Amino acid sequence: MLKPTLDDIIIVGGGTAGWLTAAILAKKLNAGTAGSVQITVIESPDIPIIGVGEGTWPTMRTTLQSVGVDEGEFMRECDATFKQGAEFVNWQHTPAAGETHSYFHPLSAVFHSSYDFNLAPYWLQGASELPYDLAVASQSRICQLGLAPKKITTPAFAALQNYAYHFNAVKFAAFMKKHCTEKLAVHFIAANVQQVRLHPCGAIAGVLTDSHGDINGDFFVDCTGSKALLLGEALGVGWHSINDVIFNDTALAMQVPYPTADWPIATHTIATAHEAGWTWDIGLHNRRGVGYVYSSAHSTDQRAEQILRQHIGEQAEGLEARKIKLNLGYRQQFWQQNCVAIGMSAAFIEPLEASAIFLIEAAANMLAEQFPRSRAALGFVEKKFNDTFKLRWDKSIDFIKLHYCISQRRDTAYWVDNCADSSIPDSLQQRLAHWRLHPPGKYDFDYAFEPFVLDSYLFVLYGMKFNTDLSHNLSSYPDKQRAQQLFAEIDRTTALLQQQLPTHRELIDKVYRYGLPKL
Amino acid sequence: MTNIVALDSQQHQQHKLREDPLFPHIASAHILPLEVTEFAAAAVSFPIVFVKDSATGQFRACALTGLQPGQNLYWQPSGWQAAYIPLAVRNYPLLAVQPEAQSGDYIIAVDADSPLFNQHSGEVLFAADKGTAYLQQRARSAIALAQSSALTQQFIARLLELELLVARTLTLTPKGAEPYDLTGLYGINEQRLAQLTAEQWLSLRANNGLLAVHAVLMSMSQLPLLVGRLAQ
Ligand SMILES: Cc1cc2nc3c(=O)[nH]c(=O)nc-3n(C[C@H](O)[C@H](O)[C@H](O)COP(=O)(O)OP(=O)(O)OC[C@H]3O[C@@H](n4cnc5c(N)ncnc54)[C@H](O)[C@@H]3O)c2cc1C
Repeated sequence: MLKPTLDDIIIVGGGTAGWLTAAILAKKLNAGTAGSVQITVIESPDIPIIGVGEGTWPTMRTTLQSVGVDEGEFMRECDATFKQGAEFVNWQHTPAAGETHSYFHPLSAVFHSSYDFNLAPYWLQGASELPYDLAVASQSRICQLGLAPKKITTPAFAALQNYAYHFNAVKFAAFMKKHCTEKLAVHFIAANVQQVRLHPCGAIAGVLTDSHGDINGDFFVDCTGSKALLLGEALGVGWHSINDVIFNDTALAMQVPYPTADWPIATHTIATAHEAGWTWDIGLHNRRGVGYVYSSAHSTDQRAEQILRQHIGEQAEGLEARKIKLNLGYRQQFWQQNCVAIGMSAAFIEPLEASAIFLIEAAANMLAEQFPRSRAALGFVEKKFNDTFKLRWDKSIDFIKLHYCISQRRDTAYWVDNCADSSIPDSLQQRLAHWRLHPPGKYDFDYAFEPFVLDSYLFVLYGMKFNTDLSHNLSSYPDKQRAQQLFAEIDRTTALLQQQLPTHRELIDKVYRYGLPKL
Repeated sequence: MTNIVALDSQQHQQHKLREDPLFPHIASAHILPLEVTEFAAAAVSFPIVFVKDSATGQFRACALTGLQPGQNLYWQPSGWQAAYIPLAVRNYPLLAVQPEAQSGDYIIAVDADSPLFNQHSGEVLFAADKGTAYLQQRARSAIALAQSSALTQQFIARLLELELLVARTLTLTPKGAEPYDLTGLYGINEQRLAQLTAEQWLSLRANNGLLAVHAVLMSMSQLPLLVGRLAQ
């Protein structure tokens, strides 16, 4: 007989997914107090974590703050820097030799609250001379200038411009492990899981390890990365591939040290489009993480390495590139019986827009909030979780695909294939058809847990010079004056911030030295 | 501007140090640094507040002497208008700095741009390559101040741990002018103080912390007097 309550939670895997999930569960479920659940992380001492995910979303700020992390300490220990958005270089059209063009997708919607007043239709009518990203958000300019999102006197986790982090993934997992075991009453076992034992009803009863024998539990979180040891291998839940939509199935990663200790640090991810994929460039405190994600159907590995080295230039000399195969798609179910998969075991699209870690946080938060302490409640939560995460991943796929499919690039088969209608999900095609005649509005994003909302779509659509024809409906936009005032206000805010904000490098050095004030 | 340099028996052989009871260097300072060891004495003269150092984000303790930057309501050409003179003001232009945080050694430094430090008038600093008795006495008080500054940092760290600091905004309505807010000031949260457990409360006793907490609270009665000075 299975016992009626779920008290022992076993998390298998200690990467970004395992430790973030452990921290969020432990905090929300009050682990370590009388009557609470017990949380145990089992991690292989031999299998390294994937260790590449370095870009996050602003949700990470809330997550770290809520689990009681000290922001200054976290940043110092994880080589972390502030991320204020992404710059997309050469995505819009095929660049002429030596030419580059780009647009920003900043994280701040503070000075751009398109939910209250959508500037897009006015911008489309020429109410500002600036490109969309600069016209509607001070942060694009702040990124261009390499300025920080806050000052050294701004309290920890507070912001003048919305921000997330770039960090060293290996150091982050180690930091969270220490935090979980020392401060959040999470148990830790270093062992290899060799076998998963099932109960006759199909639920997981326990895992057999090499060095710690049999470990039983009531609820299991599969954070074993792309192996998906529990949900995939043991429970046999299949994989829904998305390689007909997203083509980038291989990555080459490099760590590039700065030439000098005071080298400027970019405060946004730089995503540069190439012939068969794109390169990421993420500035940490002491080095950059640079890599090329590409389609193996459209490029050889050799050619890919050439592109990556060319892109980095002479700083790549003598550095090794690490090759990573990507399995694109998601599990047919994320939750089955008493097991839920979080992290690479659940899904992976590709690194564009850094959605993976942010969906890990979302999954762990929902699991914690809805945790079925009573076994009888499992089925209900399982269904809800599966429904919402299928939706969230599908919506994320649409948003990633958007970056490709509205491009004017046709320089290679890769871009031609990416823009072919047959590769664009219907849900996205329908929206794009609508947006050719109407600017996107808040009712296009009516799901409460929409992963990417109106502002994000506007930045990408109009950064990519997507054409919305309003000529048949100009009478619907009479607030020209208000729009002009808002554009002017954004300019003023930008000028003010420019005076007040230190450079990103300057602030990072200070944060490492002094920490950030608690209030 | 200040130009802090280490005092050097060779380089500064001919230099003298003058004292000026009018303290012209703080004529327009609206806050003056205070150390925790001074709180009890300072509380009878000024409101004691906490502010963040704009260069480091770290809190420090200060006497509030004006109601907007550039204004010192205790400073008059005729003389200092308060019973208490903060130690840092009295030590100026000398200060003691610790080149390595953990060592007990101090270097005596001077604001070389101060007219108090010159070659014409004042007390002689060096004689036969050695510091004079006058310099030694001034150096001792500079070192004593630097030592209390470590205590102040500990005290503030404890206040932060116990969540006893809270932001305070002063809304001022000068006669015939627009009302404005003086922001960036922090004080002690009395409500939170009342909620401390007996153990937390006792932990404040170390280094006379309880006295310091009460000195800060009592110094708040100086606020209306400070505002009153504006009207004078
Ligand atoms: C090239 C690339 C770039 C990326 N960039 C980003 C980005 O910018 N932003 C973002 O959000 N995401 C990014 N991602 C995704 C991100 O890296 C992952 O989502 C994140 O690291 C989570 O990984 P994980 O914890 O699920 O898996 P892993 O890091 O692979 O961890 C798996 C864990 O399981 C353990 N394990 C495995 N087998 C066993 C066993 N038998 N017994 C015990 N333990 C076992 C391992 O020891 C390890 O601790 C990127 C991914 C790639 C490939």
